[in-house]
Amino acid sequence: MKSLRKQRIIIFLLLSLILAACGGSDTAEEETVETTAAPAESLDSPSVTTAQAIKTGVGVTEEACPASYNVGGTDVPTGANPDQGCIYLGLLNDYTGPYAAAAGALELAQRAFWLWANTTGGIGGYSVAIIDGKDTGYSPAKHLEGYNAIRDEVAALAMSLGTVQTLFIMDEMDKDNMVAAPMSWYSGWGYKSFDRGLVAEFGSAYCVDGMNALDWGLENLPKEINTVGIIAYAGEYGDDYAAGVRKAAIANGVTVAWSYVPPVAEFDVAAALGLMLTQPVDAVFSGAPLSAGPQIIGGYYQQTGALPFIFNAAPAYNDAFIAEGFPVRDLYLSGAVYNMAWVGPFETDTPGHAAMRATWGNFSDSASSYVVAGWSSQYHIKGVLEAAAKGGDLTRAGIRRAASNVTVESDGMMTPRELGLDGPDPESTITAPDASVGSGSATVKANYAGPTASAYDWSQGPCS
Amino acid sequence: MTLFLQSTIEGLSLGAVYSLVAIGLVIIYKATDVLSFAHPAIAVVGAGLISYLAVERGVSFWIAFPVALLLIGFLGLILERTFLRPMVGKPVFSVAILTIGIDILLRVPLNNWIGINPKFMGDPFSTYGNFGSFTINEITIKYLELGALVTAVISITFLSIFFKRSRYGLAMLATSFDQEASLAQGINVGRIFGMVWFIGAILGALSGFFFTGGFNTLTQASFVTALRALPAVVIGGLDSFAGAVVGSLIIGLTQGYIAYYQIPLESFLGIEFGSGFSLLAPYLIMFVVLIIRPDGLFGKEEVERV
Repeated sequence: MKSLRKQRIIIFLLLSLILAACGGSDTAEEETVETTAAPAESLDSPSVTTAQAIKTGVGVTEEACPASYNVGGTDVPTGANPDQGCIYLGLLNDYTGPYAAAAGALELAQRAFWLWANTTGGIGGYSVAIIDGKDTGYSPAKHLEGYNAIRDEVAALAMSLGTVQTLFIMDEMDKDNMVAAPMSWYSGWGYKSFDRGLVAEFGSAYCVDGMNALDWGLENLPKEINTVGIIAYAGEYGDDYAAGVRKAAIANGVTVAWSYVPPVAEFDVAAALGLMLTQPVDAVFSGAPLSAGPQIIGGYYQQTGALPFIFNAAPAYNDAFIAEGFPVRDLYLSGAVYNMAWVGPFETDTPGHAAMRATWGNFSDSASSYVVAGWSSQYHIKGVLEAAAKGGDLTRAGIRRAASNVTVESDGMMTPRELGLDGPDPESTITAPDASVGSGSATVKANYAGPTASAYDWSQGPCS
Repeated sequence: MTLFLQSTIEGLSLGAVYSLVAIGLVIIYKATDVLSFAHPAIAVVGAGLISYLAVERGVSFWIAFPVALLLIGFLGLILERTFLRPMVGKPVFSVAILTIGIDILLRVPLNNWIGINPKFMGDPFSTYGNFGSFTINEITIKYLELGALVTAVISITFLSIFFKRSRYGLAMLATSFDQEASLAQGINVGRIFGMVWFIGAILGALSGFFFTGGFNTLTQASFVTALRALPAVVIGGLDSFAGAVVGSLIIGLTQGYIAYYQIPLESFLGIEFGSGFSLLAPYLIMFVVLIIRPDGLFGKEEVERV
């Protein structure tokens, strides 16, 4: 009898251990307390300077990160310190959908960033590693599938690619307190009320770019802009960009002569060109698909022998357009075309860009804007993790709290910013095609905040 | 008047490009009774091959162009021999579904190769005249699209003669009517199918060049242009070359006129059609045609004995 009771106690203890090990992943996080050395007294907020111990939860281990991850057949080092614990980040990437070609550069640049961050100290006594990426195919359903596969392994997401896709998993992220770096520049990410303090936005939002493009054009171009046309996709980034242009047009008394904003599958170059030819405007603001841009510019020039000013949203321009032998290379280099950039191009002179170039040189010679996007996307997540570590709470709830109350900086790559501060950052970078640099873009004006974006009442909510 | 003529030229140019896609679809349909959904993929693979040879390998465009066409012809042969030959005598529906599989099989590696950067063909058309165009009485005509129109006319003439006069052409027609009867008459149906896919693939590559040449560029979305020829063959009739061309011109002209006249038309009618109307309109025409003539404008009515 005695031995039976003993047996029951053992079974009970074993079951308790198993249940504790499996853990409920929805809300209750397994938390451990690790005592660390007192942080240096150079922190912004006195409330976090006194933390002596770091609470940790899902996705944070005391074991060291793996030394490398295999990406596309190549071992990419994490740069992790073997004497430090590890913070694991998830990756929801598009390996098979429309952005598959950019997936490699985005991921490698993100891994390169953490290689650099780990070798320069890591985060609060921890190194950071991005686990193997999950393919979303740019489909919301697959995005959720990928998220479900990694939700119990990571402390935050290094990348959630796509606006619609990220919105689709927002409820689950909310349940898990999962903070993510978005790979999208929707103006809604600038609002805590909209992204529930879960999205660590970076770079300039499309709506702001639309406003600043027109404002800058009015201030700086040699020819007056009285009428504009808008070409974009409906429901994609183009909608947000077009909304910004329209708001700036109203603010400046400029006439929007026409807008061609069809759904993706119904985009017709002939129709866009027909509008440009039958109702000529002083400037065209384009969020056109990559294949359409050269056709529109070339087709218009064929018939008129001239071009209006053209302001492309960041995804509507590609350095291939100015490659040697490209049929409309000269038109792109004619001085009539300007491009908005998410973040300053690869060659920009800031400490952050310099660190990126130095580290990236070990990976590839590409200077694509996707490399810059991948690298810069991690700065704000790094800032959030640092704040959480300083606050002594690296559980997901702690990381979320930190994301809602932190000013992040990026070694000059982007303007320091308090995340989710009721509106997007009002600054943009304006570039022009330039064949003499690897990125194919030279900065014309950095950190430009035009009168429309500066005076706009951002409390109204996202632009589109 | 200038606007009307310009929109007509634009429409005819678009129609010419569509007609090359449509002819390729019709030739396969005529001989095999199957609407090949792999045709858009073959078209863009052809364009990709031209770009690879002329731009990445530095081969002269005038050599790369015919070599790529020939290689795509052989690709058509291989596809037929590997995937379609075992389907001889099987339900048409199954074969059509198989062509969707071939479409995916071809486009996935192509898209991986294209990546995010648009590819160009290395052709000289955009260097002729004013960025690839010349002007007659204020009407701009593009060399590339003029080339497409001429190529379409030559292709149709050649194929019409081939089908009416040549032994193999007649055998293709016979095969399309009844594969078993043709076999019984001593026609090598397998060889005929191979030939059809060889010619069809070359026509596909030809069309692929014309909608990605000049500054049109090849991207992962280029195959959508080829898909726009589908309503053209339905309007014209799936088994008629003349129908394919007329259907394509109807589609092209509709797109051209709407591109130039949609806003005046909307002001006149007081109705807004929306931004995507130029691509929707061909389908509206297709519905009207199918209601009046279910086999298309030039299609032969099928009579089946029950």
